[in-house]
Amino acid sequence: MSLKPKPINFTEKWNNLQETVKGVITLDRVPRDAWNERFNDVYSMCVAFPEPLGDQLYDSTKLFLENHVLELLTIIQTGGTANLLQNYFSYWQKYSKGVKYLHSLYQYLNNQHIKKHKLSEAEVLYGNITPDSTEQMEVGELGLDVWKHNMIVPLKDSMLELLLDEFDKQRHNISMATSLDIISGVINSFVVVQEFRKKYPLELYQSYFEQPFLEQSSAYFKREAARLLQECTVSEYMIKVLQILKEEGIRSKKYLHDSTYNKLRERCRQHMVGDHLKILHGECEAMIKEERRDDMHNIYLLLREVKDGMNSLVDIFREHIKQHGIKVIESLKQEQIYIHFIEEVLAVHKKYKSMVIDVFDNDLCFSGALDKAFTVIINYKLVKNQPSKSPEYLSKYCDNLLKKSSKGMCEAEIDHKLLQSITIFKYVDDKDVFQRFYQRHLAKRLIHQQSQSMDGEEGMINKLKQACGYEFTNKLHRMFTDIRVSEGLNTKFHSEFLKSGDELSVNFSMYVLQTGAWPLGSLPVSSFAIPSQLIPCMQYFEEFYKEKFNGRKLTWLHHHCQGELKLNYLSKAYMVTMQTFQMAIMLVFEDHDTFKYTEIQELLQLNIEQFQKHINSLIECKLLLINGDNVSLNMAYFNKRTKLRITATLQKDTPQEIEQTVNSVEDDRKTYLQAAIVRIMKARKVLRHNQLVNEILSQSKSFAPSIALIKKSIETLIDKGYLERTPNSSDGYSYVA
Amino acid sequence: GSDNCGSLRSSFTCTRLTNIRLNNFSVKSFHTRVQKLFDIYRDPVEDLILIDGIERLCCDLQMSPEEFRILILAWKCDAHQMCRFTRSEFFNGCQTLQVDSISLMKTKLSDVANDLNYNTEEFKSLYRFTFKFGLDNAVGQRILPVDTAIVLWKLVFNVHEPAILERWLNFLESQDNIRGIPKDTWNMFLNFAESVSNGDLSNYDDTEAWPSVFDDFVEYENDQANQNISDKGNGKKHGGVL
Repeated sequence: MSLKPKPINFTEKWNNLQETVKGVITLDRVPRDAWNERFNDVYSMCVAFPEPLGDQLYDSTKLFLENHVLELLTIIQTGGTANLLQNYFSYWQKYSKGVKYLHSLYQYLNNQHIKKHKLSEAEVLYGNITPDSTEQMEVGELGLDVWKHNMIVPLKDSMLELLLDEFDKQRHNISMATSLDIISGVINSFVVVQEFRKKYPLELYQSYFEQPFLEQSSAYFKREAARLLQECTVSEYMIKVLQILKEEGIRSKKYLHDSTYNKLRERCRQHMVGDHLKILHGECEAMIKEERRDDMHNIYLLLREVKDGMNSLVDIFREHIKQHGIKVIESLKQEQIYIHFIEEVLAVHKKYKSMVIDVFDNDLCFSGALDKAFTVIINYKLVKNQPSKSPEYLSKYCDNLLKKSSKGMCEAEIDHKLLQSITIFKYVDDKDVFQRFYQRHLAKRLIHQQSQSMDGEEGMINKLKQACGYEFTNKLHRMFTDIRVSEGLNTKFHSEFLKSGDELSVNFSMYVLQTGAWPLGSLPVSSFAIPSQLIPCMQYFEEFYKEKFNGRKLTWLHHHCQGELKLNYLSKAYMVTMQTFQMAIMLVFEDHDTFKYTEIQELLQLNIEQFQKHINSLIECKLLLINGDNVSLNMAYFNKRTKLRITATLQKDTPQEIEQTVNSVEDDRKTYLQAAIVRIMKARKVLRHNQLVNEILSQSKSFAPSIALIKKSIETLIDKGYLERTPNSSDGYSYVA
Repeated sequence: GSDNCGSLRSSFTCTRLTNIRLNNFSVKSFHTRVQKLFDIYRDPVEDLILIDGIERLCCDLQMSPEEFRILILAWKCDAHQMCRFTRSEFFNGCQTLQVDSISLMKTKLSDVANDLNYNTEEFKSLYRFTFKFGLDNAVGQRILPVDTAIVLWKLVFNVHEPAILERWLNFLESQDNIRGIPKDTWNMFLNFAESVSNGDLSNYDDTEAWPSVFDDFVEYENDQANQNISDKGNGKKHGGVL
């Protein structure tokens, strides 16, 4: 055969072609050579000489397909309503397949003749040209278009009715007359028939089927919601609705186009949840109070995707936690209250944390509510106008764990508890108060060597650093460094001293601590005549230190020191660890057994307060006896243990110390706020009151300053002349350079 | 041309000179009269009008030394310190008031007092002056002691007393932990009194830039009010039982 264009007798060729087309479209047997020949015919018609016959071919084919589909329509219609869906579906299956083959047969026409004239994709999508009916389509598309106009359009109403009826039956658990694949196949045909369109490919599906279907579903959901609410409790209702939601989801997946899934569930949620929010919300409080976990989970699932649905649930949840927490705090046992406080609050936290995870799928709204509630609980003021005790309790709790005395707990257990205390720490508003207490407790542990382990201490500081930043733990780190450096210093001192050939009368070690980093106060608490036994080693050390670090000033804080004293005058020898002042008192008795009370004080030159405190502690533990004015050694002292420590009573937190700690925080805050205000105002020059306050609030990480305190700081700065009120409005401040 | 110019210049100079001479004459006589007035009340030792002189001056003015119009005089003189006028202060005051006799001073002070009823800017200037005036400069005071402040508030609000004044002063008297009234608080009280001009504190907003002592005051007042309500409630109940 030749590819050269030649004159063609159209009628003759078309008659032949038509036969094959019929065979193809009805899926009849088409012999291979007939197919090949017709394929060539299509080509030769398109390139026919003198005039190409492509248009003619196209029109004839279109006409043929229209007639064919109309024939099928008649057959389907005469088949009766009962068989309509089934018949439609089986003819559709055949026809759609046939059209695909036909498309291949007309490949030349499609590629060379039609595609050239077609609008490009961009023109269809973005231009405002609408393809008109006269535009030629590729044959596959033509076939589908013909089906749409001549089959679907005439049948759409009766088919829709049948389809909706089927869904209705299914929803009411009545067995369906038509099988799944037929229904989904019919519905799918609405999609496929326009799938080739670039613009609005789902238009037919949506307008002929989806829209009426959604309307019908809405009506069903409304009816069902009304009925169920009449018949059952809210708990049961929620279960039913979840069931329906699930079923509708499955149904939609099975029968409908993917795009309908969300729309259908949205309708269901709207009519079964959104429309009845009042009733559902009405139940929230009771179910949370009674902690009906299943109900809570169900209502969460229902409300989470309804707009503004969850707010009140979240609020009620938060309030519930808050009340529970506050009730726990208010009824704590007073003895060792700090342990109860931390552990019981943690128990509450654990409980609701797990509830957030299990019941509310760890939803951010609910974990946020948990955090908010705990911020309130932990900073709750038991006594009005008095700061919350939680920073103090928390520090004591940690102190207790980090001290040597926390017996009976393995390291892992202690570590776990410390880690948990960080949970509480994160909620504490007055982090600076905690820092103060922690620093004091840490200082005591370090100086009196009471730490369980240095690793444990360091681990905890690192945890705090992670939670609150370097700035926060800076001082704590410096304390650690001091202890380390002092260890080295001790070794050096002793080795150098040995070289000198002298010998110390006592075993001596010291800590050199930086004034700023330790909460110790930089001055001795009392005058003190140092016992002669201790003088040489102090002098040696001072010389040694001056040589090493010229210009540094050493202050001896004897009230923080302790010593071990061996008592040889009793029936057996005792080793007693005591504070320096106590030791000095005992050393007075080196040569005499009895002294006058005032005599001892004069000898030691201690002030009355310190002297009383220390001598009383010695009398209390019966090392000394008091008889009127006379104090004497108790020669009959007896203790089962030979090693003992009488410093402990002096190391407890006194109420004054606690108050002092809190007050020093107050001063720090004022300084901090004033510095912050000056810094801000220096940068911003002029600010309105509220802006300034907000800026300060956002900058204060370690505590939540009260508005009153901020105002007072501003007033102080105005008074000092750093700021002034802006002349025209009294609501702003400007920086005075 | 140059001649013309010269004659013009000289004639101009001439007229100006006569004018100045005339002014000088009236100024001079005003000056001497005020100086004489000062000398009447002057302290025998120091060149100042002191308590004794002020009392005589007030007596001649037929006013009490604790009177609003005397405060106005001090304000017009921009007196540096209470109970004391320097010669230049007194002179400046008389010049601003345009008075050179006791009778003129008397009418002028009353006029100014009347004007202050309407002129809020002027009143503000007087009000701010009053704080400075009240400080004891001898000891370098920067904060007004509460009792002095109370007296001055009563005095300065002599003409139109703000609705809130009495309650405010009662509050100050009842508190013993207020260490004094700083300038800012003094100045802001005028704004505060204006903002609650009807005496109603319910719209007071403590998030605004008010000095914190006003917050305390409003809280105190609200506490009082609440107590009164509950007292009244109890009273009623009691009455019912009777």
